[in-house]
Amino acid sequence: MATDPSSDVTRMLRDWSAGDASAADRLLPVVYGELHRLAASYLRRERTGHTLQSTALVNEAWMKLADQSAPWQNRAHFLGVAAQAMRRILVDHARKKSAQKRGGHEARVTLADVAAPDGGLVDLVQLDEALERLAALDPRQAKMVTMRFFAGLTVEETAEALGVSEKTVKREWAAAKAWLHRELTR
Amino acid sequence: MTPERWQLVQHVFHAALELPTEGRAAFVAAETPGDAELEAEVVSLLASADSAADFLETPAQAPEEPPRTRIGPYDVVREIGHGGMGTVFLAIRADEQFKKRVAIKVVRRGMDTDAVLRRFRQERQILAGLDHPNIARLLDGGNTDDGLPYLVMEYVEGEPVTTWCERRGIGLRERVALFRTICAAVQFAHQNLVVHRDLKPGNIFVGTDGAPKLLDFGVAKLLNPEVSGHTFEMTAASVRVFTPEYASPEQIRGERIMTASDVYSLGVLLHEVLTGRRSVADAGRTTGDLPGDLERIIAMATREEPARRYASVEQLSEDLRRWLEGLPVKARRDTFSYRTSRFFARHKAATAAAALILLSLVGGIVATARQARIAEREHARAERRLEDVRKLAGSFLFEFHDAIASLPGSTPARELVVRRALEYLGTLAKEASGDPAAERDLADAYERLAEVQGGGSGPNLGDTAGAVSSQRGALAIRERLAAQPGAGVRDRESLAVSHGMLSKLYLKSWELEPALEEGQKAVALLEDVARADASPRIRLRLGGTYHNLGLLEELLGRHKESLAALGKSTAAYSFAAAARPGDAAARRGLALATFETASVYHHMDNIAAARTEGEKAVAIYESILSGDQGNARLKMDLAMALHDVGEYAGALKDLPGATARHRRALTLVEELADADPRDARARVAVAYCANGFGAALAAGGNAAGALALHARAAKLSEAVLAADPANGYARRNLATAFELAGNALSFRSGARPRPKDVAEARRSYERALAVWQAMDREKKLKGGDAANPQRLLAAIARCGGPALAGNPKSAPTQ
Repeated sequence: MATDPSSDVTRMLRDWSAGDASAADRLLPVVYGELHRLAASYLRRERTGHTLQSTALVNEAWMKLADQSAPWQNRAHFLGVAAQAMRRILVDHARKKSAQKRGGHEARVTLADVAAPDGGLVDLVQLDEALERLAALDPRQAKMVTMRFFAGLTVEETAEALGVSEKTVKREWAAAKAWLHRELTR
Repeated sequence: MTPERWQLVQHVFHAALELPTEGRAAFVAAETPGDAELEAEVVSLLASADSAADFLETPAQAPEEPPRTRIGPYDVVREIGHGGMGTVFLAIRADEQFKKRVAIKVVRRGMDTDAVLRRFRQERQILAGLDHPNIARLLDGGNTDDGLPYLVMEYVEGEPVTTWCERRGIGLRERVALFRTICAAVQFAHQNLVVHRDLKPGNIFVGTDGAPKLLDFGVAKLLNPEVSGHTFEMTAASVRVFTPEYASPEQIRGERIMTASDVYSLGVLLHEVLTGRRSVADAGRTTGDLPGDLERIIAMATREEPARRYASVEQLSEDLRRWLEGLPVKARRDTFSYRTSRFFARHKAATAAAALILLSLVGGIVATARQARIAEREHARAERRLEDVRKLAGSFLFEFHDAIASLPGSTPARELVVRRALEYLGTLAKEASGDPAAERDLADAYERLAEVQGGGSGPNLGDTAGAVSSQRGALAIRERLAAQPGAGVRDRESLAVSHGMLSKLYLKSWELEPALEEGQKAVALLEDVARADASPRIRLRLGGTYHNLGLLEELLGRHKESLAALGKSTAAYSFAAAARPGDAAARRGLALATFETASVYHHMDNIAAARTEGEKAVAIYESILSGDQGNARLKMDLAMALHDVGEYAGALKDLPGATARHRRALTLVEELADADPRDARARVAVAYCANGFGAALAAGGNAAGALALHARAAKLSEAVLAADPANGYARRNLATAFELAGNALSFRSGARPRPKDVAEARRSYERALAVWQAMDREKKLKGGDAANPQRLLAAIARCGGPALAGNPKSAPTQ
């Protein structure tokens, strides 16, 4: 029990991908905590007392994780997929909402849904599409943005998860951000 | 753009970023000679970077919801809480005169995925089917204007049960009575095949009228698959919502949730309601804050294994009623096995009768369930019950079997128990064919039957052939289970164990090659399992499997291979014993393997080393036995070790040491045989130890005493062989008794034996030879025994008289 949780996760993920179905069940309590942490950072500025909301969010993320069929390699891979799950949750929601607005005969509102600190708004659906295009140019940068923006990982955490230096994360983050910003304001 | 081009763009971009803004354009132009497109790309990216300083720097947040003022025809008063997947509002029906207050649960924006919506519909379905005064009623339902489904429920004005109790400071008896009302509501849900799965104070409110109400069946599970449908089962497997403090161990592990999980949560809740504190003591440990009987009730409800908790909420409630009325409660802190063993220790004579009564009880439940299945139209529901009964029958009978297994005198009762369990499980497995859990139970039952028939090292009925057949039945099922896609490490482990058991059975009938083959399969499988699971438990198994292999190698005459396997065995056992100092099984295994090592040294003629190892083994056994006097198996092990150490002592010319050890060995096995006259293994052991003791007496000059012991050994062995002709140990004992009797006769009068003794010795040797030759004809004479016929022919020759041909049947026996 006193072992390093990340090595446990790695081992359980490996067992799972090797066909040991029970590993997924042992994984849940650990993953749950991990995702909870992700969700917590993601919901950092939510009003206090909203803890159950992040529980629901984590359950959603878990469902998406459990559905994914590619084998796990390690904790970093898992964090990446968790971040990807967070991204899908938010983007699906944004897509649904904008579809509702169209259904309600309102013009599609661009730059909706997520408040950006400069007072403007980020259109998650557009961002998601732009990220797909970025992934074609540099998959690591797309992952980096997903981890940092959708899962709220810090530079340090992202560097650890991707197995690169913090300096690399900072450099590539700057380039990816500039590229995405241009794509979204074109 | 291509990925390569993007790399190039970034290269220039990063370099330019290092410069002051005004110098960048010139730098980019200089860096991109003749490539206007590249230059434009970098310049536009740099411009974007300037305006994107804060862009994406704050992680995305879940969108805030606009406050709801109206839901369908209801006016929202205020938000009263968040559920697992939705928000709950207090509302009033706008168009009604009586402003009835209701609670409305709306799926949270953003959580309206298919899976959550499905769960929401299920909750509605569950609540619609539960009409009980202590369960919050479903009143209405619909969709909000923005398309989110909602449920309208009875609003319970009150507070969580724990807060309610604390605030009023009501007494223990009132709390227990209130808790029984909660039990009744949960029991009602269970009768409607609904498991709540999230019982906690926040979901149990006490209204102003003092009546408790169960809320939030949001994560409840329908046990009735016809109602829930296939998709629900899938959802239940992938989505697990629970509150860890109240969730049962199996719920946390993500295993199948049964009504027993609610029993567990109620146990935790009961503790909190009675003491005001949540943490429930470890099962069996009491804190002294509550009357002992209440602590026992809580401990029983919160046992780790679902099968050992109260079988239903009703039983929990019933025990609380008994406490309220001052009657003795049924909960005991000790385990079922402990209790039954205590019971049978006190009432040995009643063992078989009690077994019959218990069997008829379980049988009755099974029969009732099957009638129910036929009678009820709801086929699936009955099947669920059958599943429960299967579990009950399985765990009950197996626990019963294990509880009495180490008690002398229990062999017939055990066979009856296991045989009956096998019948039930066989029938049930047919009905639930393809259900791995049912098949596992069936394999378990086959293995226990094999053990009682003639396998294992405990008491048995001496039917080796029957045991092999039962064990093969188990093995076939285990192989099928382990070969299934998605088979887990436990199935591979069970398969290994099954091979190991079959190996031991073959050894029993002296079929050494098949035994070795099975033993090697077991080792290979277990080594594989050990790579995935380094726990002491697996080490323990590995220790036993290596030991078996070492024994077989030795019996096939391969000392080196044997010592290597035994070395691995003692290492594995030492590991397990060190990891679990209190575990007698690991120490017993260590003793067995050490003892085996001693006999290998003996066969290698290193008697000093053999005695050293043997005395070590005896010391370990004596220390375990001193803490477990009634353990038949342990006594047997110790007797075997003493026998051999006696042999070594004799060979080292320590005659008093030899006699003392042989005498103690014989006494121990005689106690065992007396306690259970039908235990074939004990009688085989008596013959074996009588032979050993006899030889020691003969060496000390007491030929008469020796002859009496060898005659007894021969008689016992013949009796065992009459019932079980394949018993290899009995055949060896018989041959040895004859040979040792021959020796005692030959040497009783010193250098010049009497002719009558010589003739008698010769007849005895001829009988021994006949046994060995019969085994030789059946290809069962292996290893060190291969030389036995030759040795006896030489002994016979020493006695004089006509030379003997190979066939003992033609030899004169008169």
